[in-house]
Amino acid sequence: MNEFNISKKTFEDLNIIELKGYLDAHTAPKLEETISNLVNHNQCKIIVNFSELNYISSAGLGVFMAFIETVRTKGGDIKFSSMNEKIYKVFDLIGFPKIYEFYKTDDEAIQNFKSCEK
Amino acid sequence: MNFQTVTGKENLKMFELALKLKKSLFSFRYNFIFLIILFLLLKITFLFKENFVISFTGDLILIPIVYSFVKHLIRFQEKKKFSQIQLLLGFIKFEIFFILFSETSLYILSPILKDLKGLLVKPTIFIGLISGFYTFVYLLFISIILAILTILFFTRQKKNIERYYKTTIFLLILGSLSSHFQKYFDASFLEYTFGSLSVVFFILMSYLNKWVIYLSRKEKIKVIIICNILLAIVIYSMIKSGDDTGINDLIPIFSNATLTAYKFIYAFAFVYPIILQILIIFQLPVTEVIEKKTSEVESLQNLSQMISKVLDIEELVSIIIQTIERITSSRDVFICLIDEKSNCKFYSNISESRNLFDRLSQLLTSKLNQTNEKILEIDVNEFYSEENHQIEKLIIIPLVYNKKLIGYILIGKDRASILDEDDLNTLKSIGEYSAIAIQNHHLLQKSIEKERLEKELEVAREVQKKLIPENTPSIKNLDIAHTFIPAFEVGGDYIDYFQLDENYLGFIIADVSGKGISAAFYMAEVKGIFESLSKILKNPKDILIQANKILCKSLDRKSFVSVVYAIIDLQKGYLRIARAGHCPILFLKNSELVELIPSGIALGLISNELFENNLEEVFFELEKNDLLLLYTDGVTEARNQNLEEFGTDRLNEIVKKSEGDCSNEIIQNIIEELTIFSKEYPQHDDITLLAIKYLGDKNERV
Repeated sequence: MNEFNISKKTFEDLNIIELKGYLDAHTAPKLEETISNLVNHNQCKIIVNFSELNYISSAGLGVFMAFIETVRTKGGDIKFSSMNEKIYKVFDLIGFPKIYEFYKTDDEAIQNFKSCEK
Repeated sequence: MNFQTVTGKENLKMFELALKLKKSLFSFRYNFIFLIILFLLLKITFLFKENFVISFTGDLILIPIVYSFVKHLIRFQEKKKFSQIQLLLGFIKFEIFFILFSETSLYILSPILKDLKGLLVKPTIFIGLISGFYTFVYLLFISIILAILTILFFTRQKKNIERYYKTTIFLLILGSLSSHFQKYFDASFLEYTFGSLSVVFFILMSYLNKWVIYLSRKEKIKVIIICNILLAIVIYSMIKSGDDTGINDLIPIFSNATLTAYKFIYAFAFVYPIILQILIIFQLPVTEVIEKKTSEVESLQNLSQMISKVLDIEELVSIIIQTIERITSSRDVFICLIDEKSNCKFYSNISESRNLFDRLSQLLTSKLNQTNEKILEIDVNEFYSEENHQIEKLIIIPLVYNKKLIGYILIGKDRASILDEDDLNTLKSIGEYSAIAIQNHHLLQKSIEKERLEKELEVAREVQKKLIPENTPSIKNLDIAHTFIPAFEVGGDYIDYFQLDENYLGFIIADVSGKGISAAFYMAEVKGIFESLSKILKNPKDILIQANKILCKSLDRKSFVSVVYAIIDLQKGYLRIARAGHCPILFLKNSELVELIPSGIALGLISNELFENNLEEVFFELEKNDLLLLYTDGVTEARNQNLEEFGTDRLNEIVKKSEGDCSNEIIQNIIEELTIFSKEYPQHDDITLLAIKYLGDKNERV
């Protein structure tokens, strides 16, 4: 069985979710629950860190789509950071860069959230 | 031949008859009647002859008669299964009936009995008949009492008391028969010795009576009352029969031993209720403990029986709670089950406030996770203070299965109640039983779920198989090949060809996100959409835009479809191709491989202009032997044991090397390499490949 882990951090009003391992149809519900919890508590500024993610399947990608509309209407966003080239390619092929913002590091993503507030 | 078979049959009939006869001869009823007839014949033939041999033989014949009658009565009890109390009551009834019978008889027979002494010297046939009648009545009475006592002795008996029983009966018989020697010497000495020995053995045996122990307190008191009534009746009847002119004097005419046996039996009837009472009085203090133990054992038995039957968790928990309520006589029993995410779920038969559950849950998760299999007692006031609750102490029994904590049983108690070692042991075993039951339930649930999923996947695979074309179309100027290898968990891959008209062929490769039945059904929808759109619209971009609009409405937000859609002009070799979120298109021309990635977002993700503006349609002219290879991510993401992916590089390399091969060969090459790469590692996604080689020649066209 492929391992998948999520760890959460907060930075001021931002939530940073770090993904680790294999995100596929079997592990996607775990991520879905995590994000759903945040959104239900109106924590809509979310940064997802992919630095330790080895694999993402279409079901994993779908999770982000499930929430993006709600998050944005609540004035938040889901931004991606620290993605390796292989994972980025998957996102890129599907066309995610047209819908989501990608950053090299969490700091850049945080900066972007800040600048939007101003 | 014919004749022989007839004799054979007749022989068989004879044999059967003989068997029946033999069976009936030895059956109880015939023996019984036979013996009585034998006895009567003996008596009538030698009527009143004062012969020792004859009267002794007569009494000897009576022994098996009584024996078989007692046996018959015991068999009757085995069928009817009277309780011990019912048997004792029966004892009383027979006794009363017998007394009434004797009284009536005395009254009727009083004229005869008046000068009995004279009659006894020279008895008439009439007296003989009366004596015979009463002898049998006495024998009946003896048999019934003996049967009742025997049944009582052997109920719930664990020790082997057969030896005592046999000795008692043997002494009883010896004592009874010794009365025959009266004429030769003073045999009353023998009679009393054997008689009292038999009573002694009877007393010993009575002390070994086990059934009294298992009675409840209430029943024991009942038995004491019954015993006293019985005793009173026996004493009354003993005093009565002490009178000189009784029926007792009539009996010896017919059978000497019957009267003696009757006297001994009366002694038994006198002794037995006394001993029963003594036994009960000694046991009364421990009755409560025994009762409790018995009910505990019964409860545990019930529980273990229910475990295997109950499918519904609510019902199972409710049975456990009821069992604990019965044993601990507490009305506040909760069960907390911990799920995989270590959340507590509470079950209870009472509707206690949510507040308590919340507090308990906090307490359990914070305090107790470290504790192992020990039962804990906690003062409730420490963590929960609300006016109207009576629970003051909580007993917490952890439910542990395979060293894994799966929940707790919580029992609320008031301050006064104390649990001793015994109670704790019982609770512990209930905890163990319950843990097994709950775990069994979980496992069963899982296997049911698994079976359901497997069925579901079977349906999904069936759907998918029907949606994908079995054969490639044979089209002029094109060499087409495809392969589709479904994964166990249906991946939602889809390919199709649309013969638009003589000159145009449309084809598609798509991958619906997600897996299983939902992917299969979305795939069916995708097929429907493209089949209809391809008939109306003539360029890939328009088709994808329309398809996106439809899919955005119908797909759930998590799902999307990646697609490559292309149309080839078969005559001119013009290719128009658009990609929406799908894997790159491999284009091989003169041993040069190009990954075509025209921009495009997957279908079903966004419905606004963003999709339209980002969708690119590529147009180019195919030349002879140009090859297009379309694939799904199941190919590049196939893994081996080391969890390495097959990857685009390997795929591209194979395609590059395939220069000159036909479409089918190219696909075969890829599959071969894939198989070598992943070896035993299971395929986790559908693998789909579509190769199209253009064979049209420009020069021919001109």
